Amino acid sequence: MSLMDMYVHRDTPIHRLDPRVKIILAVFLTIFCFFLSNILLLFGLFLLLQLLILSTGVSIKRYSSSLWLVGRFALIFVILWPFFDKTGETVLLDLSIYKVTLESLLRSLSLALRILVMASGWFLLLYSTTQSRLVRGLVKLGMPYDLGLSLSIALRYIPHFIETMDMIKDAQVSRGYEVDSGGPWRRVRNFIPVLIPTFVFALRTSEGISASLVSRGYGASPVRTYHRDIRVRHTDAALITLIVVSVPSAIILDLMNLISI
Amino acid sequence: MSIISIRQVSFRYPKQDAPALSNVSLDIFPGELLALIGGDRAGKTTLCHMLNGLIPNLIRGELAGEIIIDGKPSSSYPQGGISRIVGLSLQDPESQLFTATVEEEVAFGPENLSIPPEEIDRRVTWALEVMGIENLRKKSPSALSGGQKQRLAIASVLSMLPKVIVLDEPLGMLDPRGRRDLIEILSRLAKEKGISVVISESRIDEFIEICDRVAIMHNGSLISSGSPSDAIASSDTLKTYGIEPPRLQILSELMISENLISQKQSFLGERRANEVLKSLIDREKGGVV
Repeated sequence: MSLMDMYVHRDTPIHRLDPRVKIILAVFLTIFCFFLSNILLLFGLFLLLQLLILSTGVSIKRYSSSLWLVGRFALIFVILWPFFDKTGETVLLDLSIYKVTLESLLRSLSLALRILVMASGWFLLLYSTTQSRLVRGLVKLGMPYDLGLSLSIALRYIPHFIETMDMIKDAQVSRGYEVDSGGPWRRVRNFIPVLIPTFVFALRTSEGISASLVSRGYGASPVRTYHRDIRVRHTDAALITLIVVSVPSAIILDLMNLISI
Repeated sequence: MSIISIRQVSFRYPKQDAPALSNVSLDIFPGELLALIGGDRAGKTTLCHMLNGLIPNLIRGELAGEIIIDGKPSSSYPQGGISRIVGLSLQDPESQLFTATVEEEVAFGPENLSIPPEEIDRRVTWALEVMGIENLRKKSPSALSGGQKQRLAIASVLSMLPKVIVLDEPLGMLDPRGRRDLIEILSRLAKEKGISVVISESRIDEFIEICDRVAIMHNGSLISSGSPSDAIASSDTLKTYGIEPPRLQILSELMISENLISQKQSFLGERRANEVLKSLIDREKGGVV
């Protein structure tokens, strides 16, 4: 899965939004999740984001596998949380070192929801924004073009390298090499013969990319034009205002305990 | 007058003992279709990178000699500047495709050259039509077959409207039909648009007949450069340079050795082979009658 593969080729209202709206939403949601702990608000937001994501036309199967990548981390947090937080009066399960209370469970669920909301904002952006519009959006928000392009190329190729690493690992295993045997230290050492060819592949690919960029005129002109430039429409402006106003307001209300479960 | 002129150029990659190119001199003329052939490690890719200015502007090493591109030394161009004159399609199309749609991929080059959006649109449409992939315009490059990726890589070079296009092993990912189609397109570009086309390949069967000139490389040196029939003297010579001779040339040589045809009737490519074999069959039929 890469950024290039994540984009869903559809023409939906979400796709038509200015990428800056979606970038600002993803960034604000990420910040919002650091501050907000209200579980109802987080859950409501999570449901709303799921509806928006599904409206981009992404198949449920494809989206659920992406969500599961993040969801398993959220699940680990929920499972491990009672080891570290045993406070609360309503005990649900008590196994001495593993004590689950309603309060700590809610706190762990809140943390899990924060992770899922944060990820959903970025999923919404990546499913509905082409790479060039994403870079254009970032550049219009002030990011240098070089950095925007590097970011999008990294997003395109890092998963490709992971796939290659898996392929190399399979090739080594098929020739009798044991990657996943022994203790943790041994496993790390076993992985070296997989990592070295992966690095070599990554280096070769990066050489190819830089050659390709230069041979296609990258850096030839100080001013770059855009085949399809982005423009803020009234809807985009209204949505940016809504995000910029509502997200900080919700944080303030939550911090002042004005929203209660 | 040549568009690219390389004079006694030698190049050695850093930390390498043997030079990748030794004393190579080559001119590329407008509208010609030049085949650059050679076996492994012949220096073809290095020369392709040199024609596009990647050497010395991006890839460093010990360089001697003179590379003149459109009247100016290649080192005097800014990074990426030569792409206005010489377009290069790399060996591996996978590392050239990094955008989300075919259209964006083809537009990337002209955008870098600061071309106005309306003109970019015209160029994108033209390049996709020439390469026969207009129907894939909105598709993701990752969803394309190997052959389609190769065509897309070439379209993304064509959209910059260079005077010369250099293709490093462009036929590798294509099936026989795809190879024939691509050769036909490239031949048309050279003849109708006056674009010089340089094809670096180790297999020469499909395009030997339509080339204006063939340059043979071996161990970093340019062995010969001339018309296909002159450059490819015999299949044994080609084999010594690690080049698989055209199958029809082998047949032609066999027929000459068996006195079935004369030296004058020798052939390298399909068209000429058809003519000769047809006349031979007609002669045989005539004999029977």
